[in-house]
Amino acid sequence: MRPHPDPEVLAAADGLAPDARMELLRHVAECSACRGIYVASDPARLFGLLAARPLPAARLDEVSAGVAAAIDSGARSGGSRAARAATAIAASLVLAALTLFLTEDRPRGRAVAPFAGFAGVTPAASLTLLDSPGEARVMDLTMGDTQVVMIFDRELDL
Amino acid sequence: MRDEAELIRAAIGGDREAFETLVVLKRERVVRTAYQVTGDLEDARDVAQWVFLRLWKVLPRFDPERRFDTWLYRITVNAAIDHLRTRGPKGAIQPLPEDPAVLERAGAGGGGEAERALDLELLQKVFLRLAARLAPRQRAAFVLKEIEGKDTAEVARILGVRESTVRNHLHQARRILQAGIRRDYPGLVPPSAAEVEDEEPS
Repeated sequence: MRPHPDPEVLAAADGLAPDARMELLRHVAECSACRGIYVASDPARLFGLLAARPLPAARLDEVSAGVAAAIDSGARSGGSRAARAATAIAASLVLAALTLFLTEDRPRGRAVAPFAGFAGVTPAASLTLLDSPGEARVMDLTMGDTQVVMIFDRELDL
Repeated sequence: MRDEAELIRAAIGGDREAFETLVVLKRERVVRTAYQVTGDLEDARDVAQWVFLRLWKVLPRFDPERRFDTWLYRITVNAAIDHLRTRGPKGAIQPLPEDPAVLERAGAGGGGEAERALDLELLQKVFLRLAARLAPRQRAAFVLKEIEGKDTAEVARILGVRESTVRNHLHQARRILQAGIRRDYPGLVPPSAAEVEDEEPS
């Protein structure tokens, strides 16, 4: 058995460096006299000795093996693949919504869903369909003093 | 042999071998912490695997200036608490010997060298049974402080709470565990030297 530690060291075991603390706990687990001093102020300190209880090596090896197998199956790239898939789905939804909006038959010159803006945050905006030559759409977006004329045409090549 | 800081830097850069070495270095404390919080070794293994896989995924975003162990303990404790809340504490059903003399010998010991050693397997079962009465955060704080040997400030950083909150968790946990030991397993606690002197005839 290791030599008995000083009672003051036993009382201040929490402040020891990890290796020194572990050595002290192993001694206390073996020596009932030192254990009596160690837990005198607080019987719950007894459970601190569980740090000296070794875990089954097989369980630890299972952890390493499980982690390695999961990484082999692409765990790290899985997140980015999922992110790429989500981005692709979101982009598809935006394109589909835009296509539906642009191919809908609307009377010329009618204001479409004027946007009142957020009070005190953005100026009022309006979106107006100006013309529809063939499959093309010419739209006017006005936000406060700013006017943007947009031309949508699948044949347009910039 | 590379030191820990070097392993962490290499793992951040995607070095698989360095990461697996890091797993070997850290797996015991991760499994032990998860085990003491969940109360089940198989659950602890599952939690540990999840923790290291999560680590592998998020490690590229880890700031090497931060404390790696604090970060690792935080992921572990949060995962173990989530597991505990989902599945419930397992330790309450630990089988224990009915004979009080067995418990007394396990703790206080008789005259022989072998009998004086504490039966850590039995102590583990007693802890899991009594700790099932603690709230998850109280239990995690106690495990980090008393078993893992972290100071109060570090426990607060790991749990993401104030030190005063940790002290409160620890106070509550100790109160419940002390009451459980005194009521159900008094033989586990050997008499202190002062108590022995008091009992000796003059």
